[in-house]
Amino acid sequence: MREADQPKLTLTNFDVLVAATRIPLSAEAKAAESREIGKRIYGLLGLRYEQSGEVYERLGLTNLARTLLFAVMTTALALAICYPIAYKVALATPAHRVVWLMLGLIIPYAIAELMRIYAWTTIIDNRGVLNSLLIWTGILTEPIQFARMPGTVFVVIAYTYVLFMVFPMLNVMSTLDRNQIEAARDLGASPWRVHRRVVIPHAKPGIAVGCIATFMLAAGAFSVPRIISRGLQAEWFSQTIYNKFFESETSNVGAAYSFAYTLVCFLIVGLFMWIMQTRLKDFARVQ
Amino acid sequence: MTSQRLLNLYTWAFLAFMFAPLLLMIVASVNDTSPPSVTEWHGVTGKWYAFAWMPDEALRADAVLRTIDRDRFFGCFGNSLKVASGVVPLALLLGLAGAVMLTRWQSRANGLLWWVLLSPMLAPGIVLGLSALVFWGRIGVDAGLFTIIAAQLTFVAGYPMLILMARLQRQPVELEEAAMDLGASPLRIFLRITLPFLAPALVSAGVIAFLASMENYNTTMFAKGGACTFATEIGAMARNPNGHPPVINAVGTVIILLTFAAALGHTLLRRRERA
Amino acid sequence: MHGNDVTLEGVSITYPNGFTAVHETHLTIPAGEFFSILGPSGCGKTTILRTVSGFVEPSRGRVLIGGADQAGKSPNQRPTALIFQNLALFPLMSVRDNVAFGLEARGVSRRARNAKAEELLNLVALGDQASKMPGELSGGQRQRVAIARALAVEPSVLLLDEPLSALDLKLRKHMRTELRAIQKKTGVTFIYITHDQSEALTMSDRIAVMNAGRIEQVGSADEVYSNPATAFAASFVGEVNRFAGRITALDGDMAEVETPLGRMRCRNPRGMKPGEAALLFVRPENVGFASASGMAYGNQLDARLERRDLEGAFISFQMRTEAAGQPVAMHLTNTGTAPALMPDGAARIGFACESALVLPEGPLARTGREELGAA
Repeated sequence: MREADQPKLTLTNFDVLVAATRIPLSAEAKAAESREIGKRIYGLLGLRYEQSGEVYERLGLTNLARTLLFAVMTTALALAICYPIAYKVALATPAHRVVWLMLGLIIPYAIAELMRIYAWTTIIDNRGVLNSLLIWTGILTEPIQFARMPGTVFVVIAYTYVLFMVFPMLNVMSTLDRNQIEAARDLGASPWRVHRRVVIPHAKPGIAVGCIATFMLAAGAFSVPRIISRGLQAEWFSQTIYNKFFESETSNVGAAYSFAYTLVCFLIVGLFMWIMQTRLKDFARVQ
Repeated sequence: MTSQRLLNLYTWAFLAFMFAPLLLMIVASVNDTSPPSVTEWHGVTGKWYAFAWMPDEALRADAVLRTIDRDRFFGCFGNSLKVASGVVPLALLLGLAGAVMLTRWQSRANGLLWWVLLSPMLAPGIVLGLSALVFWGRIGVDAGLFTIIAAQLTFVAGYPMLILMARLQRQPVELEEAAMDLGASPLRIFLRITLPFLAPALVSAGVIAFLASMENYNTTMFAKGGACTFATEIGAMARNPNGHPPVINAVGTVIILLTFAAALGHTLLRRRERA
Repeated sequence: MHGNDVTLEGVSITYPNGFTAVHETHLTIPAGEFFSILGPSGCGKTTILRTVSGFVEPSRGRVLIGGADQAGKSPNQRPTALIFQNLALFPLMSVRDNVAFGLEARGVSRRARNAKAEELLNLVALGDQASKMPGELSGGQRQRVAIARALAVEPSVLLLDEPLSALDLKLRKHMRTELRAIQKKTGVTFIYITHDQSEALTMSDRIAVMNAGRIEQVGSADEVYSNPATAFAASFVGEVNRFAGRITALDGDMAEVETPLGRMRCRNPRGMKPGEAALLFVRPENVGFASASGMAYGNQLDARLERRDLEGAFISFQMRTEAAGQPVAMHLTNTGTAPALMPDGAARIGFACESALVLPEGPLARTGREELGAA
């Protein structure tokens, strides 16, 4: 084999990810945008800067940061939604009725991911349930284009992956002896204190695993933004990876994007596990 | 008691949040309009279901159904079954090996092994698909059903592993020691003691692996090359600028009803067993 | 079935983390003996059992069964069978299949192994339960299935790891008799691990008292109870009064000991020298009221009644002495001869010099090789 055929190791593929792009903006648009909070945060993070009157933005990185932020927010939302449900099913329901509640959770969990996403299109369509309802009640006169709103993708991702948060929490919580809760109540603890001192410490491994699962699914979400937004709004980073890999001239850039993304996600998960004092073995325990 | 009431109310609201979209999907699947809608009622129709078996002439006569390539649609469904029939047994095998290794083989490398075996479950799905594509591409395997199987296997194998591990940890080690003490060879211990104990867990792990393989979209999209699976084909229909055809709702309804029947049947069966 | 002798030659077991579970041990258990190892939890008795059965390889020394070195033989190649503390019955097999499992592993035909299982289940009086699952049996029945399963492979040594600990007291007492009977009937060598002294005392031909990885004494139940070799053996087996003191003089086999309760005379089996710190031991049943018995006890002291408990067959007296923090326990047979003593009433109590003995503190000092196990 000749020397030239040897693949060379290089980091140039990563440069594309951090590269800044000039954003052509009129003076008014510039002034308007510089008042937006989001853009200001980008500025503080060094993702957006001005040079000789021109605005530059590191599009790859802003996209990455935006997606991760959404993923973290989805996780937080899912946690808030799920904690009461997990508590209700695991600890606040008589045993003979738990079966039916579990059924109510398992059925949507087992239905194919894509179907759960498609189910939402009927709701958020321009002539869908939500718009019809809002127009019928007189709140709106013109339909809202939900497909263009980042919030929609956010909600549908939360809907799609919320049950991955419920089950780990529920499984750990149900190993808590209900007598402990009654003992704490009996000793005069308020419901809030019972949760803070008894239920949450016990459920911690389940909470951690649920958060990690939901975060990774949200961060890696590809189907939801693709089906819900239909290209009508800013890309999710997973879509960026797809486009870089399959639609740019060199797929190596896509590989660099993908590798960088994995690394960042692992770092976040690692940090989270360290803070929560979770070990990998907890993943087996919450099954 | 009011906090209990509040919790009940919240639970019902949550269940409504989970089931409402599915109900709308079912309703839209019998509405004679495309894209699927529940707000504009055009009368009840069964044609979105009949798509599966109606004669070609009838198919060509319908403005919406005409645009769907039925043969390709079912070809992709067949591909999904092929992929699953490769993924499920391999995932069970790998998962079983990993579970036995991590629970019964204590060594200093255990911590590292945990990371190696579980990290695919923690990686974004798209990355797994992409890695499989690049890796097998380098070796000279073209993207297709094989790379889909390889890519899905990396994370699907984790489910059986976790399920089997949880079960193995509940089996006292003394059972295996007792069998060994009575003169059984390691193979006999595995076949007579460990495997029967794992059997129920193997069945549920198999079902979960099958479902995971069938529904997977994120990973498959990257590894599929020119091939298609049921999930990618259904996903592709979203790109239709006029909105997706209600055939998807019909398929979704079938999946929902099957899931419902299976879950209900399973629950009733378990209740009877316990009674 | 027949028994085989078991010999531990200088066996010691050290775990990879540096902890020595068993210090150098020499032990010989003759064929057909019911041998118990008695000690508190964590003393290393289970480790010895697992070493004999082959789950643990000794760090040093050898295990011989019937004269054959067992080094490198795995548990399924040794002529031993182990009965686990939790029994480890196979939950998904019938009682019959459980008992026949060892023979199945040896390739015995179904008909032959079922016949053998039948025979053994009859031996343990479970002949009519063969088709049940282990989960459907009571604790005592499960116990007997475990014994039958272990005996099915015709071991020459049966190892039992506290197999009665999960049973209630009544059943436990009943199973003691059964175990003893089965052992006599089969002639198999039994090595029985327990922390329950009454189990060891009632069943065993000989007992090894073990503490902190060392066997401190080996002897018959009578020997261990009446002539404990170490302070630990004296305290662990049965109840005992213990007084710390110092040897002041010797008189043949006897010694004089200065204690907080005064000067006492007692046996000196270990030949301690004057000036040595010593512990004086006397069993509660050997202490009596000096006035009532009309006996002149060699050792006497003044005490007051602190508590009197009627235990049924005997009366337990807790006596307070002049030395602070040094009560004396007495057990008197309930024959109606005990003096009617009011609470805090004064009495003169005592014990015979021959019934008490002095031992040094700490474990048995070892000088090189010591054949503890010589029968």
